[in-house]
Amino acid sequence: MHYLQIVFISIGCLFFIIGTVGLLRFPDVLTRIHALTKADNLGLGFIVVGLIPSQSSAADVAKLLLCWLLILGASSVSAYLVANQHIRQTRKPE
Amino acid sequence: MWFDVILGIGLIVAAVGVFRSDELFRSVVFFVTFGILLALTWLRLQAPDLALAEAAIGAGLTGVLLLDTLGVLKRPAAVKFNLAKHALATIVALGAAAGLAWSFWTLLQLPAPTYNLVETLAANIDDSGVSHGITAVLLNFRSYDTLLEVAVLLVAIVIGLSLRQSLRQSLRHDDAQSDGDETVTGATTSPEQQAPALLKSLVHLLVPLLLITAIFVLWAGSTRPGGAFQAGALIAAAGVLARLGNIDIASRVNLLLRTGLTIGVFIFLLVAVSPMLTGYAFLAYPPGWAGVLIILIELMLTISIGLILLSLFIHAPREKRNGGSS
Repeated sequence: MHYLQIVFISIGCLFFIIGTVGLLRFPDVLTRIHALTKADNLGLGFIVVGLIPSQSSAADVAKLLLCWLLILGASSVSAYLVANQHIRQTRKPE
Repeated sequence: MWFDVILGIGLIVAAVGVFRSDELFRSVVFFVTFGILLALTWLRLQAPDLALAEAAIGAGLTGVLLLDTLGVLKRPAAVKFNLAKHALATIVALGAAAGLAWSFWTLLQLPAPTYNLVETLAANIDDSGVSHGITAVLLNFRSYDTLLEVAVLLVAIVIGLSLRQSLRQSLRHDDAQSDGDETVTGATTSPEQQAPALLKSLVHLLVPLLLITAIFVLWAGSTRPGGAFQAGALIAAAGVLARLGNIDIASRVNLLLRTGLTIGVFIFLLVAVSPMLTGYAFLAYPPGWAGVLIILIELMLTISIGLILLSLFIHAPREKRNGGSS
């Protein structure tokens, strides 16, 4: 179980690293958002899954999952807002 | 160990970034990063109360206020390189650094303190009415400091509200002089006023959750890390979110809002003064009443702190942004 946790958390960290590299390397706003949300959703998801076995109570597991769900919601909505604003700004001059 | 070293370096990098960025927006982002790193640092120093307060107020709400201010500033003033100013700033910074180094050095020379605050606190915590050390210090042993802190917050919002009044009048004066300008700004701000449906539904989900969490944090304060300041910050965050989703909260400075702003300090002062009528000292809780009174004060403080932080955001003077409010 311990090794499985290490594998999950490592995969999660890998997603965060890939997301960060994408954020730095991608050329424009939309592709950068794509990279960021991958890190938030998958990276955090893997880390949460990796952390679940070391929790002592069901309440703690529920809190971890709640954190993940809340961040999922917040990151997807804020990604949408940023993209929306970006499209609105770039289309305006036409 | 290595994590702490990286954290320390990150703090310094973020602090330098705040002051050395070319753009104000970048400075604000660095500032928020600094606040989050600082919260992590408090966690590493095993001070979760401070970490909560720093993350919520220092990084979160102050960041929102700064971003909001950036939105109002039309063109950030270009900072020209000024040799005299830079030289003066360098001298001041070096002087401050030298003073810090000197005081740190003298601190090291001092003999170790003979009293142990942690032990004193542990010995007296049963008299405080709560079982969490931080809350016992904040609202019983050193409640005078807390009273002054919330009074400072109250003064801040009073000044903020009066500034808004005077600024609004001067803006109205400008409007009368230049009509053409207003139509342009009105056209650019109108799309922002309709909040996207996605944001609205997220706000509908998050605001009740935030309020529940605020009540939990307030209640937890008597036994665990938490308390009025953290709960107030959460309430303010809920209000800011609601505001961003175009839900109208506390936008009018009416009697209700004014009562909410002042009730924390008022109840605190009332509890502080009333024991004097029966011969106790200022701020001394009557025996057996400490726990109840602390909860009462914390509840009222939460309402006031939440409303004050929220009002600082909502009632910040905005340039000619019509609609939305009232």
